Amino acid sequence: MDRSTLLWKSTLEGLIQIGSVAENSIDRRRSLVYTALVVENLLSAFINSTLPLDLSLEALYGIGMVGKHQMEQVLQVVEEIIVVKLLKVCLEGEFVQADTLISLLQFYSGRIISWLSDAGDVSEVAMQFALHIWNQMENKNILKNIHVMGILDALMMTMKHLVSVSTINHQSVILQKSHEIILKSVSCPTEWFATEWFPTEWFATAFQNPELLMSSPSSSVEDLNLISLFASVITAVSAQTPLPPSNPNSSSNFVSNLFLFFFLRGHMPAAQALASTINKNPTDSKAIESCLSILSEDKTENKQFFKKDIITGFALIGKGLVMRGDDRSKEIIQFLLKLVISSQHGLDAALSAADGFHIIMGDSDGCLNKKFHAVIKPLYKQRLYSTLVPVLLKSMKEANSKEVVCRAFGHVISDAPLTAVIGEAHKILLAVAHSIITLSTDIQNKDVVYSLLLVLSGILMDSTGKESIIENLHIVIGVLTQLVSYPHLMLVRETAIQCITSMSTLPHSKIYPVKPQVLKAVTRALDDKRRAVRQEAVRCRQAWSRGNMHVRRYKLLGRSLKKVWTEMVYGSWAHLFIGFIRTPRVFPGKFV
Amino acid sequence: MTLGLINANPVVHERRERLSRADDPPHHPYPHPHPHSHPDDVLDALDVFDSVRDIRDPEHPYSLEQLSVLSEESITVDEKLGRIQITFTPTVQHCSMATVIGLCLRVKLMQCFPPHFKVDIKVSPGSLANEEAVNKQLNDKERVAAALENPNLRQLVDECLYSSELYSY
Repeated sequence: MDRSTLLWKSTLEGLIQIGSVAENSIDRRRSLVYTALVVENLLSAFINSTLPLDLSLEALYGIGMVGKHQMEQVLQVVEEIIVVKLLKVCLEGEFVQADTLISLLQFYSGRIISWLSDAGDVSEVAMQFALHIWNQMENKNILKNIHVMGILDALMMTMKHLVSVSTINHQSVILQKSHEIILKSVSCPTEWFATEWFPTEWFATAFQNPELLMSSPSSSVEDLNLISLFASVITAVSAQTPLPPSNPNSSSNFVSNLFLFFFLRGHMPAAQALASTINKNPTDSKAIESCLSILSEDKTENKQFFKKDIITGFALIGKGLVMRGDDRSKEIIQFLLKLVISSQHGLDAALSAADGFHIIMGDSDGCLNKKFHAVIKPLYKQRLYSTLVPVLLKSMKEANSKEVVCRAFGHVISDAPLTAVIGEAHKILLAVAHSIITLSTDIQNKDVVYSLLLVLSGILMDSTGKESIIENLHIVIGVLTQLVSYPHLMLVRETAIQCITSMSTLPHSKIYPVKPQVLKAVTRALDDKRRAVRQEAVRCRQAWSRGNMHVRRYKLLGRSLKKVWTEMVYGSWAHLFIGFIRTPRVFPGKFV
Repeated sequence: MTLGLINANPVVHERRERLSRADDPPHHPYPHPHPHSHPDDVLDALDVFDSVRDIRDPEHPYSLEQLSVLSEESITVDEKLGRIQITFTPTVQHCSMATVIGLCLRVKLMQCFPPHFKVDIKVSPGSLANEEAVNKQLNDKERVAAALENPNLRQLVDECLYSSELYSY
């Protein structure tokens, strides 16, 4: 960090400290003076863009943290700037400002709103801004351009945050407003979804005849953008919030039918919203029956079905059901397993299904998490893990495409809680080693290889896990030495060498047979093109060469120095002369 | 020949500030966009210097860097040819520790760099009385190997190299 940045940061820190003292003092005038001098000056500097964006955002957040009142002032100014920039980018076409807008949106939702919701109730403010955004969406010109350069994604995440911090009443207001706009603006006849006229069997038959699905009106860019934003609202609502329409006469299936329709067209945000609805209110919607009936029909001829987006969407729905602990999730899990093991519908479908397991077992920031009010049954991951692992272990030997099964297995193992995995280390260790070897040939698997390696290192750190590693030492060392020269990802090489270094502390009788193999591999790594890998290789080599010996503490006494000196003076024949030198002879003033 | 230390009052310099290199953040799972060569990671003199600067002097509890025996400027690295050249300056003209220091340097470089690198260790010109003889001794493979087989010498070299782990925290 250079001097001027350090100075700036220290000054900011000083101002924040002064602010918190002023805020906490009994005399209210101090706080007012601080607000007038510091906060307002910084805000006007921000509005006039005198500082670079990242520095001004950091300064605003720091000053805002002084107190709730100050943060609310910051919030107001940031809201105004966001709206101004949104209009500039979407209406006037100044796309160069898109990055600034995205940074502002992320700052607003990720930092300011989160801080305020931790500090107190921010629901009213959040609702007002959400409604303000929806008001802008009535303008077709804004809607047309909003997906450009990632603005829509940032806006969707902001909307999710705003909805998630609102109370149930405020969420209903936002839902009501968005529902009205959808009904008004989306061009495909939305009354289809609202009535019973749109039966669930329609979906099943539509998939038998793709033309039927395509003959319904095609969606424009504005439609899709609106649906995405509506989906972000639905993804983040609480389970108790009633979904529109609130009119008891019309069907309450509007939301799920709408999203099911768009999901089957491959729209990912719709799939997320559908999964969230199913997770929070499964009894209300007939959407699950529709999905499962689609799955149960035999789809061997319909290639349309096995596209990546559809399979990923089904994985999301499966996740929603699994998190809830619903037994109907079994059908979706079976469907994915069948795709992975038999891979009769092509390698792409099998790979998408394998990645589906990553979605189900993993954690996501975008939907189906605690922040967005998902219904989560405790230990759902452990239950799913114990169901899936025996099946995958068995099919690793029998499957057509072993790489796909290994990929699915890798996802399940690396996303499962580490304690569950370590408890069964003796059962899965060989499978983990085999998967790493199988997957390390293809560059596409590099993230799975890294995750599996981290699991292996977790097993190594644990005392019971160490026992199983010692039993299978040759195989584990074989895998690790192969990974030392893994070309696709530096982190894999570095972590492999770190694992080997920690294995040098295992019982000497077990590790000495593999020492030559290890030293050979690590010596090759000394030549690696990345510095971090080279440094780890040096440490590893030292650990394995010196063994378990600790450095003995020596003091350099005059005696040992004498021995060294004689060595230097008399060369390698000194040992012949040592006896001669030590016998007490009289030399003129030299030896005592 | 004296019994006592060769240089009882060495001049000790300050340790230079260690520059930390800007690396890719280690937790980032996706590599640099050009995975084949990261230009900042090419082996350079600072790498070599970082590996040898903490070697302790045989006589005093200071590092070679602190006693100005070594500096970054005295190291030349040619990665393509695979050569490292180090020049060090003993503190006094008649230092008989020079060969021990040279031996420590060689052992450390053997441990830290791949075996195909050729390492040349020399004393800086004019800094030692028997400069030529010492240079010859330090770069003779057989004499180095014989010295390393001597357990007393080995013990001394180990102390100089690994005591930095004990003292440097």
